Amino acid sequence: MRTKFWSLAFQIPGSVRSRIVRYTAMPLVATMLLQSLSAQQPATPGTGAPKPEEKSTPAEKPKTEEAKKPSEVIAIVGGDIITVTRETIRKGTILVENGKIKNVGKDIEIPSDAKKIDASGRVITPGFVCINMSGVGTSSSAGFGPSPSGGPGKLADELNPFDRKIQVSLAIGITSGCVQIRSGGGGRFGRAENEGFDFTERFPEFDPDDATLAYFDAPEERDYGVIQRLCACCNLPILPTEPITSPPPSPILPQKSSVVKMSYGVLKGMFVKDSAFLELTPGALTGASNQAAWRDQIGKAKKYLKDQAAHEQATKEGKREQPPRKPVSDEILSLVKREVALRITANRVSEIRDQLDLAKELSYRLVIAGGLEAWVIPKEIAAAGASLTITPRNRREARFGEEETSGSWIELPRVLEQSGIPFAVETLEDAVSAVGLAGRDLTSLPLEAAFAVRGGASESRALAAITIVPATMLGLQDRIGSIEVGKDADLLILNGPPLDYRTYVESAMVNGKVVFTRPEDKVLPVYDRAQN
Amino acid sequence: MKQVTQNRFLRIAQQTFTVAVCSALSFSALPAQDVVAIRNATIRTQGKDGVIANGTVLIRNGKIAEVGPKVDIPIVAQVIDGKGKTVTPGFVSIFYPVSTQRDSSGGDGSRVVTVQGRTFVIPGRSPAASTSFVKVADILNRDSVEWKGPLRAGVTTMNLVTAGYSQAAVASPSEDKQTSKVIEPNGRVVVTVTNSTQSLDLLRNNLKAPSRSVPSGIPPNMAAMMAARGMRPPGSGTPPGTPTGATPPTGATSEQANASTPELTPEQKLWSEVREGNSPLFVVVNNSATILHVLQVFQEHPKVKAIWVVNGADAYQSLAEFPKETTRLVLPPAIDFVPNSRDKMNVPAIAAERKLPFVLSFGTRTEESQLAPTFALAMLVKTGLSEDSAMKSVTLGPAEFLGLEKTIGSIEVGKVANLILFDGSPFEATTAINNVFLEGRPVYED
Repeated sequence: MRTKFWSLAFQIPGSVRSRIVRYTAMPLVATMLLQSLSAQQPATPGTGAPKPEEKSTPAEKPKTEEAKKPSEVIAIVGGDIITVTRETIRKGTILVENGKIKNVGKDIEIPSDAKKIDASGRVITPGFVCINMSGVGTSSSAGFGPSPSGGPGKLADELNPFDRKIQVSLAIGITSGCVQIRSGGGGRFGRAENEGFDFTERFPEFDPDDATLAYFDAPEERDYGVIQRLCACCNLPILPTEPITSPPPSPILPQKSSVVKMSYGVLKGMFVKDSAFLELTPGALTGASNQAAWRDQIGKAKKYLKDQAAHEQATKEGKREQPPRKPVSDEILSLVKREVALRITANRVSEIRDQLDLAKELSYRLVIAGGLEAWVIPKEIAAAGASLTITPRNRREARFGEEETSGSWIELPRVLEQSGIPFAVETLEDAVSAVGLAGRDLTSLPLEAAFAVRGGASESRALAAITIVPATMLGLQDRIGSIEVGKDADLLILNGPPLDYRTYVESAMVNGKVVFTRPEDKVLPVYDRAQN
Repeated sequence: MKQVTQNRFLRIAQQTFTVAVCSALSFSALPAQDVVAIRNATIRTQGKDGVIANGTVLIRNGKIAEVGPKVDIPIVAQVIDGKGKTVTPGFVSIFYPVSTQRDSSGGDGSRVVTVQGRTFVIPGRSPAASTSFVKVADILNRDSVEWKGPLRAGVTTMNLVTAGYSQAAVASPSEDKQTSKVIEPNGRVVVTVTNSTQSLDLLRNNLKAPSRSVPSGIPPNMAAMMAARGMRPPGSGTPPGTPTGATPPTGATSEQANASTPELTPEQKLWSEVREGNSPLFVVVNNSATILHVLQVFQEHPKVKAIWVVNGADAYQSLAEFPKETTRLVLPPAIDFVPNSRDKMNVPAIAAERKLPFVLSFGTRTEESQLAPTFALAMLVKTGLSEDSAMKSVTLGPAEFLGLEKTIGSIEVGKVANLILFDGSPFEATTAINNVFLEGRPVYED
């Protein structure tokens, strides 16, 4: 009965059906696996109970002691290493020292004092990078709370390395994630929803959070203009009210994303990058007025950078000049400097084209989120050098009369791969949640990548879509996303191929430290599948 | 041994009389040269004598005059027979929160500001509100403190603290709030920290060596703003959010700001003591993540000695991270759940095993404490904590944390006679308190 349901649900194509017949022992996995990977794993995945040697760090105590001996070398031996960016190494060895990958290969001398982790029969992959994540490792209000300096609190100060959701994320292999900072005043809809009105707008210069208010209440210090009239009945002053005319478009404020690692129990090294990504709400750049405001801001940013360079030059020459005033946020400046990419949702062909045009005109890096109809114009996207984050299971009906050129298409991943467009895979929901529909949240990330394989992408490309591609989008391709010498030791030891839905993460290492072991942390069921 | 043969009836009569007189004179009127002897009792001295079986404590002038297995009891002494009973030092409540009744506008998430003589209620707390410094001894409202309850539970010394950011005060409770007294108004600095920028900045800014013109507690940008507007920096200790018209103190403060070598404000002095490790800092944290954040701050200030007021499970998760030399823990006397699990654990016992100095926060749950004052201790002892470290963690340990180990915390000659007489072993849940002696006076009798 169950088999029937699955076959219906997945609509197994004929090409793979023959393989399923051959591998009767693994009925459905085959559809989700790369040919190459399944070849590596001829036996049924997950044989045997987790070996005690793998529980290298069973409790909190050894974990932290390990961190205090930085020179310790860890050797992960015997596993099949999927490096993502290089060739796969069978029964290879990875040496980890000081949180970095010291060496990786087949015939590597293991120092005698190295701590060995036996991974024979296991698959080792880089930790997965989640491109869109929220509420993991931080309090829900991260970035919201005011700091004494007036600005929003810093995410780095609000991290919670003991969040249970970190363990849940590690259990399915996520070791790094891009967290949105939803600070106040975001986007065009900046007026805070919970407050009746904005004090600062109503009373210019009256900042209720100004700490000086608490100390000084001398009336002469704050002058809000002469009160013209008093109310006839209550004798209270009638204060200036907001103009009835609609205000001019406020500047578009992109929201910032920060990268955090899922280093359970370890604060050091958890915060990776403050500003890795710019996010804009869908529609923030649609319409002439929005786009004009955006062009204006980018123009200001460019002018500021030019002025600043001139100012630095002048300072070098010994002239004393006022430095130029920063007209836009730091995030927009780094966008203009191409240090970070802009990520914006665009699904329809027209929306995607709009964004491509804007990015080309203003020359910033663009990442299109969604991209359901990207299969219609792959050449244009490839030519613009944009990349995509897709959710292969997302579906949208074609529009009436445009059946051939609109709506979602299951083969989007194949089209993207063949056109050479880098794409990352994200989940339907960006949170770890037990209340939503199972299989939609972050815990389905590898499964979502498997659906890219279903849509015609190669398995290696699908794995890259949750490792090196998102790492590159975040500007962290030198640190995470693949197994290479010198990169952060964010590694997964899996009991099967990475995109197989039956595969469990046996243990996860972040910054060279084992932060998750399946038998110890009891997130996913702990049992021996071989008996089935 | 003449005293031993003293008529039992006389003794009882004497005792009864004393108690009657005590109640009549409300104790404070008792002559200080009263001599009391407790004999034949098991004495947990917590000092160099250890546990004395069948010993005698002699109290004179509110101090412990003699203690040992053989003590000559003077004929004038009021003798209490302690056969089958146990004498321990009075308990020290290391973290006794008191309400301060100030700034009513801050608590409910709104505050009142006055603009041109008109009053506005603004939603949201002032960012400065939580960073205001409070000296408990200055604002202590005796009426609002529950003095009797802790006393009945054997607490003879309390470290009074308030939530947020304050300087604690050590007090000695009495059965009458008028005679309860603050014995050390200049206590330790207590700061509640959460994992937020605002809260951590308070710690970071204060631990930094004070710059010349910026008064501590005021962020630099604000000081700059004040300078730009020609404002005067407020005097330290001025509660923020004062109503209109309350101009900050002028004179000395502004002179200080302008002087080339300004004197440190009292608040800054306290922090420099903390920075140098001369005075430990109470850090109150509510989650395990904050412990790591604060430890990160302390990495730049290795001399700082911290007394962590933490919950057991939170401490357990970071137990290996605490540097042993500069860490003291204040743990609730309770059994905790292992995080993410239904297993239970005895965190004080684990801390004792790891040789992390810890004490137990005792005497704050008054109703429970009175019914079975040592129930929590008994539970911890039954599940792995040694009797000695259990007793130390509510007597000498907290006294050491407060810097009062020379006067209280153990039964040694010359120390203040704060004693508890139990009707059995204090580590049995059914044991009750017979007598509590405060400076030699019996202040509570069961």
